[in-house]
Amino acid sequence: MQILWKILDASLATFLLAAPWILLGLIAAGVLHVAIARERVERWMGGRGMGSVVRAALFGVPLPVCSCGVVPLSIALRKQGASRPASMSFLITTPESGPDSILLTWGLLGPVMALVRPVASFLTAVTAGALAILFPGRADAGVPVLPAGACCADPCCGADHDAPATPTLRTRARRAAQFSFVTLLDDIAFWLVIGVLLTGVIAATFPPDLAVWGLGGGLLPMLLILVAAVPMYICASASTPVAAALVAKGISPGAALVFLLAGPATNAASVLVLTRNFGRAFIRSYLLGISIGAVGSGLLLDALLVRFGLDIVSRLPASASEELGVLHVSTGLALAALIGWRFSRGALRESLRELRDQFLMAGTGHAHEHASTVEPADPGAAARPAPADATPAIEIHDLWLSREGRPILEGINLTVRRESFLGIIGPNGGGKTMLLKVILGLERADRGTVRVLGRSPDEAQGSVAYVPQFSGFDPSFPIRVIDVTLMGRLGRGRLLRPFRRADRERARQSLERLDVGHLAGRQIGTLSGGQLQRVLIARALTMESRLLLLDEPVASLDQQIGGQLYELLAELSSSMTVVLVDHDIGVLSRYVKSVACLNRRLHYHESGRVSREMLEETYGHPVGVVSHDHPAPPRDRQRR
Amino acid sequence: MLEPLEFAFFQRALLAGLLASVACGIVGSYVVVKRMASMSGGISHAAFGGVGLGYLLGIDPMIGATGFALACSAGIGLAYRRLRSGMDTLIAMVWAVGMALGILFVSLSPGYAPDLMSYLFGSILFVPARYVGFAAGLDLLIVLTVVLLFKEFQAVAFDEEHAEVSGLPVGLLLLALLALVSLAVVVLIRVVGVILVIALLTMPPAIARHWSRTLPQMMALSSVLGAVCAVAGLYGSYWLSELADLNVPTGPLIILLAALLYGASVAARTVVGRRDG
Repeated sequence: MQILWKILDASLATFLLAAPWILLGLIAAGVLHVAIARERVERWMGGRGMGSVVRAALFGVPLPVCSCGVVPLSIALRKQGASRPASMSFLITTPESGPDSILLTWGLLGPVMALVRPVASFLTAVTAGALAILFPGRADAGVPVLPAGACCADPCCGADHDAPATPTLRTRARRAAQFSFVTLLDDIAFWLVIGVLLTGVIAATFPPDLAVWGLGGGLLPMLLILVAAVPMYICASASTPVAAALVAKGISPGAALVFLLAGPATNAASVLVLTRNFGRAFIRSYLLGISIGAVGSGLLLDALLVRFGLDIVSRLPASASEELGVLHVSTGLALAALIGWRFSRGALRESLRELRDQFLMAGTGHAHEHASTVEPADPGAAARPAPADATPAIEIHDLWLSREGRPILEGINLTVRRESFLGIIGPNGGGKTMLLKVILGLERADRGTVRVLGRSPDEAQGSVAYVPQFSGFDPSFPIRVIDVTLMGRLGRGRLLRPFRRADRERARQSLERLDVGHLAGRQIGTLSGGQLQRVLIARALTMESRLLLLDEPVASLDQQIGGQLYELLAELSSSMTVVLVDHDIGVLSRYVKSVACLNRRLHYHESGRVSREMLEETYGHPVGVVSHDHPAPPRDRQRR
Repeated sequence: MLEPLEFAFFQRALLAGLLASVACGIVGSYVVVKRMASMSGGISHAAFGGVGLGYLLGIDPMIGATGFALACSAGIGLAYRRLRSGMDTLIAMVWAVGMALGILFVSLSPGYAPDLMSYLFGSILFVPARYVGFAAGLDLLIVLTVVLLFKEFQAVAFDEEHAEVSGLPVGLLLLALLALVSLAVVVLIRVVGVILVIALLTMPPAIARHWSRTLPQMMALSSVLGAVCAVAGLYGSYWLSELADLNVPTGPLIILLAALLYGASVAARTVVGRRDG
C-alpha cells in the first residue's frame, strides 16, 4: 500500500512539474500548425538524393505529430512525390521532436538536453535516409497504399485546410486553439497519463542508483533500452518524464537519449504498416538507421558531457509535497481539467480503441482496413502496380519547362506505347535532349506529369537505357571497353555485390551484337568515333531494359554503319520500346514506326506519317499555330 | 643501406612513407581521373584549420584535421551537385578560410606551438609511433571502402550522368569519394605537409596513368611509384646529411623526385609512343 502511495506521489510531482511546459508546448504546436501550409511541405519534400533527406528531416523537427499520426501523413506525402529516403527521414524526426516535447525536455532535463534532442533526432534521420539511398532494395511497385490504422492528428492534411483561402486572424487563432487543445491533446493525453504513471513507477520502485548495477553508462544500458524502446508505443512528450526518471536513477544521459529517440520514433504497429507500404528494404534501413543513430548519439552525448565537464541532472522532484510554486499548481490544475474534459468527450475511449487495434495488428500481422481519417483511400490504388505491358512506356501530359527564363518545352503531350519505335526530329536547340533528360529524371519539369514505365522518372531510373549524344567522359580514362560495357549492369540493389559471370557474358554478347566484340580489351580512348558510339549502345543494351532512349546515335557514324544501326534498332523494337531523337529526318523515316516533330512544341501523328505541314511547323515557325497536335486524352491533372 | 634502419625514428619514417604511398596511390588515382585536384587542395588546406582547432582545444591536432577535412569535403560535395560553375570560387574560399582559421586558432592557443611548420611542410622524420597506427587504420578504411564500392566509384568517376541514369546514388557516392580524399589528405599531412599534399596526391597517379589500361593497374602502379619516391626521399635526405652534412628536408625532396619521375615518364612516352594502338 505504501509503495502505491509512493508511485502516486511521484507521478503527481512529475505531472505538476511538467504541466506548464506541456501547456506551452501545446500552444506552440497549435500556432505552428496554422502557420505551415501543406504546399510548403510538398515543395520541401520533393526531389531525390541527400538534399531532400536533409530538408525532410529538418522539416520534421518542429512538426508536432506523434508516431502513429506520422505514418498516414508520410504515406500521403509519398503519394505526392516525396522520395522514399525523404519519407524515411521525415518519419523519424517528426515523432521524435516537436515544440511540446522540446519544451518539456527543457523543463525536466535542462537546456542542454533540450538542444541535444532535436539535433540527435536530425542526425538519426539523416543516417537512416542515407541508408535508404544506399540500399533501396528492389524497385517497388510504385505508389503506396494508404494504410488502415491512420489514427491520430494530421497537421497538414487536416480537413480545416478546406476553409477559405485567406482566414482572418481570429479564425486562425481559433484553429490553432482547436488543434492544440482538441486534436493534439486527444492524441497525447492518454499516453501522457501513462508516461507520468510509468515515471512514478520507476521513481518509486527502481533501486536508487542503477549505476551500481553497471547500468550507469556505456553500451550495455543503451542496448537494453533500445530493445525495450523500439516496439514500445510512447509519444515524444510522454517519453520525456520517463527519461528524466531514468536519469534520476543514475542511468547516463546518453542512455536516456536513446530512449527519447527510439521510443517515440517506432512502435510495433507502425513498423507493420510501413513494411506493407514501403517494403522490407525500407524497414531494414529504418530500424538500422534509428538504432545506429540513437546509440551513436547517446555515446557521443556521454563523451561530450565528460569532455566539457557538463552534467545533465533530472529536475524531477521526489514528492509532490516539495515546494513547486503556484505556477506549477495552477497550470497542473488547468491541464488536468483539460485532460478530464477531453476524456469525457471520448478521447480516452478512442485511445483505448487504438491501443487494442494496434495490439490486434501486431498480433495478426495484418492492418485492418477502416476508413482513414486523412483522405478516402483510392480504391484503385492497391491494384495499380500494373501488369507489365498495360501501361504505356512513356506518358507525358502537359509538360512545360524553361531554363533561365527561356522556354524550352511548351505543353508537351506524348504517349508512347510499349514495343514501338518512335523517332523525334527537330532543329538543334528545339528541346530534344532536354525532353530525353526529363524522361530520364535528370532534369525536372516546371509543370506537367511524366510517367515512365508506369512510374515517376526518378523511380524509373535503372530501368531505362540511354545513349547520350556527347559523352562527358575523358577518353584518356584508364578503362577498357569491356569495363565500360559492364556499367550497364550497375544499378540500384547491386551495391556491394560484385559482377558475376552472367554479367560479363551479357556484356560480351552486347558487344558482339554491335560488331565490336574484338575491341573488348582496348582502352576506351583508342577507339574511333564510330566504334565508341557502338560501345555506348552496347552498354545501353547490356542494361536489358524495356525502354531505350538514344540521342542522335548516328551523328558520328558513316551512312552505311548508320543504316545498319537503324536496322538493329528496328529489330530491337519488337521486344522493347525504342525512342531516338535526330536533327533531321534523313533515312530515319524508313525504319521508325512513328515520327514526332519537336521544336518547343510537339507535333505527333499516331499514324507515324510526317506531313508537310508538320515539318513546316517544326522548322519554319517556332511558335506557330498547332494544327496537328494530338494531345493525349484529357485526364485529371494530378498536380496543382 | 641497412644502417639507418637501426634507428627507430627511421623505421617509423619508412613505415609512414609506405602507408602514405598506399593512400596516395589509391585515392590519388581517383583525384586524377575525376579531376578533383583543386577540391583536394581545398580540403588539405582546410585541414590546417583543424590542426589549429586541435591546438586550441588541447586535443590531438590530427583528430582536428580529420574532422575539419571530412566536414569540408561534405560541404564541397553537397555544393558540387548544385553549383557546378561556381565551384572554382567556392574551393578557393574554403582553401583560404581553412588556412586563416588555422593561423587564428593557433595564435589564440595558450603557449607556443613549436611544430606548426611540421604540419605545413611535413616532418616524416619525427612522426610519433601512434601516428603510424593511426595512418594504418585510415589506410585500411580507404582500401576496404574502395574494394567494396569499386565498380560504383569507377562508374561515377567515368560518367556521372550514366551512373545517375543507372539509378546509382551518385550524390552519396561523390560524398564518399571526397571523404576518402580527406582521409588520404590526413595520412599525407604528416609526411609532406598541408602545402605539398596535393603534389603527392597527383604526381604518382599522373605518371601511372601514362602506363595503365585499367583503374586498378593505375592504383597499383602509382602506389609503387609513391613508395619509391618516399623511400628514395628518405634515404636521400639521410645520406645527404650523413655524407655532405646538408640538412635537406625530406618532404620537399620526395616531391621533387616525383616531379623528376613525371618528366621522365612524359619523355619516355613520346619515345615509345602510345601503347594499345
